[in-house]
Amino acid sequence: MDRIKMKNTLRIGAVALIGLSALSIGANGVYATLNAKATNVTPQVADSGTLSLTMIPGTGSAGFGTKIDNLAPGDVSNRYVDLTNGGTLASTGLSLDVVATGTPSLITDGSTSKALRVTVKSCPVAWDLTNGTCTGTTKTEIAAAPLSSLSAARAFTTTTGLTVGAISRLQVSISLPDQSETTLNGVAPVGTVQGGSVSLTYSFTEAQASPATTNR
Amino acid sequence: MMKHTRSASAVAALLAVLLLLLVPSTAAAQTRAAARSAVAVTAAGSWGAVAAPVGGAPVAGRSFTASTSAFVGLSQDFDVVNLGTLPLVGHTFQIRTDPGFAGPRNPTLTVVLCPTGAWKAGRCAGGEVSLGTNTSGNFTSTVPLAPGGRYSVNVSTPWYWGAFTSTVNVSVARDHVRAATLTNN
Repeated sequence: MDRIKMKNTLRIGAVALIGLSALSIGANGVYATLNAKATNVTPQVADSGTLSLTMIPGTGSAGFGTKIDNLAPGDVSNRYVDLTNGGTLASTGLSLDVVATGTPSLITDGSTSKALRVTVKSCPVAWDLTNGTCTGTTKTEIAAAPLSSLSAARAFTTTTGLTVGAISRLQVSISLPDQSETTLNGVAPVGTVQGGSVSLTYSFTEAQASPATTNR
Repeated sequence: MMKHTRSASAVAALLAVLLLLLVPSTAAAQTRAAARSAVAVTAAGSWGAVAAPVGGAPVAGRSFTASTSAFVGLSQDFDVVNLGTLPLVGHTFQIRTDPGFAGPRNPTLTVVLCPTGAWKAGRCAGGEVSLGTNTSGNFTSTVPLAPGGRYSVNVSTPWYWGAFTSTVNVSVARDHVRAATLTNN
């Protein structure tokens, strides 16, 4: 009895297998098609660009590497730095922020203009350090601003970006506004700027120019 | 069981929304480059002067006093010391007498300055500078004084009928400090 059952099962399996094989062969025949492909012989190369901004002292200048000492009201000390857009992408949004720590009266104005000011100007050629002049057209990039206002990035007003390889030659002026403080027997008034000191870190930043779509 | 599945779905949806909000879109991505300086130190100078006993240590905030008896003239030497870091081109003395005398009845004060600080037999080696004579007690010097430097001053009155104490205060205003400079380096 069991042998008969086994035989029937095998028969059904064999029939099913044959049926499925026939179906599979038939289906391939139905969907068979022709394919064609075109491939470029030379691989197309796509490189990503780079954005790089570097800063070095201007010609003949110490840059920000030397201390500015013993400022009196009205004193102006100019430092010179060159910014180079050394990447392969043009830039935009040139800006400066300054992190200042130290004597508060030198950083933030009180009721009068007391705090140190920073002014940034640019020159198309190297600055003449003997008298701080530019033989080309001087552009004011950042008008005199107290240190506290430069804690947030301040955009350059005229040179908004740099082309690839372009150099921005900057004169950075640090000035102590002229102000009157009278000492009595060697003691300065409350909130004095005298004898104060600040540590400054200058950060120049640029962003990539707008993305471009090209058609060739 | 159904309840758990719904809660899980809600949490997943919330997370997806948060991710969309937090992750900047590709369109907003922008490459930036920065050049940062090393720390640069900038320091302001200071200006101030004080009167001190001849050859004595100056003490900021302290007045110099000298007393005289009745019917005796005053002749007192003291030093003025520049306590600041900036060179001075002058300063102001205020000499007050105590008790105060009204107007012209004040003692007549004469101030003479010795830039070299070397008095000898009442004379200043190198020449003395008179700051004038008055009863108001206000005198202005235009003698330069380097940081840490000192010179000597003599204040005197002629014979006077009353005893009094003179108090000397020294004021230094911006105008008494070197002129502003422009440096390029």
